[in-house]
Amino acid sequence: MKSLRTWLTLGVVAVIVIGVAFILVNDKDDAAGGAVVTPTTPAVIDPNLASYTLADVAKHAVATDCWTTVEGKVYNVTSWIGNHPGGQRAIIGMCGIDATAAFDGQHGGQRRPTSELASFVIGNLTK
Amino acid sequence: MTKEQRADLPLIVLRYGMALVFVWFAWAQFANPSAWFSFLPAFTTQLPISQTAFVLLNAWLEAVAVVLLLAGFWTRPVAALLGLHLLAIAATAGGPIGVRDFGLGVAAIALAFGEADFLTTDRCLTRCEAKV
Repeated sequence: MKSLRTWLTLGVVAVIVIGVAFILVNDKDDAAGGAVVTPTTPAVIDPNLASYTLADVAKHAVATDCWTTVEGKVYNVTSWIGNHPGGQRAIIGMCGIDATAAFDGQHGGQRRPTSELASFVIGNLTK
Repeated sequence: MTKEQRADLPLIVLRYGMALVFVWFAWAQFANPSAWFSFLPAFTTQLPISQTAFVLLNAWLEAVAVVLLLAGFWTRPVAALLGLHLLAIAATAGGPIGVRDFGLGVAAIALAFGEADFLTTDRCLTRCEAKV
C-alpha cells in the first residue's frame, strides 16, 4: 500500500497536469506570440501637442529610439529605458506599439508611474 | 511553545512570507497576462504556444507552489525551484527589480536549506510514517 506522502504527491502532480492541459487546450491566441491588440482608449486631445498615428509610433520601435502610446498619448521613452525600475526589457518590449494594456496591468492607478510617464509625452495619438 | 518550536519561527515566517509574494505574482499574471509579455525571454516567441498561455502556465505553477508552501508539503524542493526561478528572473531583468528578485531568490534558497518546521505537512508525515 502506498504511503500518504505518495498519494499526496500524485494528487499534486494530477492538479498540475490538469491545469497545464486546461491552459494549453484553451490557448486560442495566434501562433505569432499571441500579442493582444488593445484598442486605443480615446483621450482628451491636447491642442498644444503634435499629432501622431500608430504608424508614426511604429517607426520608433528600437531601444535607441523608443516611442510608445498609452491611452491616446504618444511618449518618447528612450531616455527612460535605462532608468526603469522594472528593468529595460519591460520598456523595450513596448517600443513602437500601444502599451496601454501593459501599463495599466503593471501600474494602473499608481500615481508615481503615471506622473513619470507624463513627463515623456510628445503628442496625441490620432487615427 | 517549546524551545524547538520557537527555533522554527524564522522558517515559518519565511515560508509564509514567500508564499504571499507568490500569491501576488500568480494573481497578477492570471488577472492580466498581457501586462507580463514584455518580461518574457525572447525565446518564448518561438514556442508553439502563445505568450498568454506561457504567462498563464507560469502563473499556474506558481499558484501550485504557493499551496505547497502554505501546506508545507515538499517545502524544500519547492522553495529551491522558486529560488532558482527568481534568480533567473533577476539575472535577465537587471535594474532595481533585478536586485529585489535576487533578494527574494536568496530568501527562497535559504528556506530550501532549512529543515521542515513544526507546522509543515512534511514534518507531520515524517512523524506519522515513523509511527506506522
